[in-house]
Amino acid sequence: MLQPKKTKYRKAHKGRIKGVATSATTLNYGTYGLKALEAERVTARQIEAARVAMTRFMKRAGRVWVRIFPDVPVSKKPTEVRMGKGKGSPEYWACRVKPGKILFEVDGVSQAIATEAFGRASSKLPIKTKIVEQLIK
Amino acid sequence: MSKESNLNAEIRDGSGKSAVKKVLAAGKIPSVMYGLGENPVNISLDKITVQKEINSGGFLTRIFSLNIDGKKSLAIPREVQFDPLSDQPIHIDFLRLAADSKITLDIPTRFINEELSPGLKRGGVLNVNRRTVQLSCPANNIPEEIVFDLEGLEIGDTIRISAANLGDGISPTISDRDFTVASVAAPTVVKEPEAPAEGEAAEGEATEGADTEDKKDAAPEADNKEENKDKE
Repeated sequence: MLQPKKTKYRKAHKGRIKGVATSATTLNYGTYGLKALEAERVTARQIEAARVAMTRFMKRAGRVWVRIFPDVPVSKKPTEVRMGKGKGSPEYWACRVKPGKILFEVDGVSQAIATEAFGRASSKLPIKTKIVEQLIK
Repeated sequence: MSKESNLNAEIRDGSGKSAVKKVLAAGKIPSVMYGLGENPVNISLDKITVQKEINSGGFLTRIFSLNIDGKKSLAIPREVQFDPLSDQPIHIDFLRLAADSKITLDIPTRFINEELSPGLKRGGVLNVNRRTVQLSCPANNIPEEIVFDLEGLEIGDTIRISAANLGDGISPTISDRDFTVASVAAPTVVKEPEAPAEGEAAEGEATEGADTEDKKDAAPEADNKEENKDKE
């Protein structure tokens, strides 16, 4: 799973996801892409599950690019522990995704295969998405 | 040469966020036209017409004859801004052109004869390094696309800009080297986790069961410790 090699601080604030994406809103590598339509924290597990679903469906053909990276540590308190006594320990990594962000890109496959692969990837993600393709050719 | 397309435009009043929002709400696309040493002009275009032009392809490499309130002028789109969510065009920059001027453009690349490449037939992937190539070309001779032939290419072969047949007066802006446009790469093999043998699987289950039992045993101890801490 994706996670940073090292971080300056172990724990991060929860934060809020506001507005729409201003960067990575257009396709840079592939012909087809999956774009987020909602704001949500996407975990490293979800990113990996989506990637695996896509690559398994596409078999050996084509190439997949992951355009997001989980760089926010999410902490969690152990079960049956009373409130207080400080913040919990880091549990997993997540990426704050704003609407409009390109999540994955695919190239080297037909439109039908890319559509089906993105459909499978989308079902692993906690947000609504849409498939985009290169507009200006 | 790419054929001129006609577009009707109107001069729009005002600039800035609120004025632009009004133009967009009226079903038009705010635009600006500049170049040739003249003052920039704020214009607006019909959204549906522009979308049709964009979807027909090669929008940024076509010359348009803009009819601005009866006055015609040649221009080429330099930039199109899209809404990040809806992917609708929200602003276009036009550059005024003289018929004999020379311009720098990003021309899209196209690859033909994929079925005649033995490398691609054997499962290789066409790795496109440059979807567009920046060319310096005269305004009256803009190529629609640069075509590369993939016939006979094996895995590991590269396609360079010298393989393209560019027209007269057209040259790539990168002239110091014969740069790579695409390559035929080996496919990435996905390693599936190997299924364990039957004996190993049984052992694994046994150990997993033991682990869970250990955890169950350990859990009450942890609870007791926490209770003690609270009491203290």
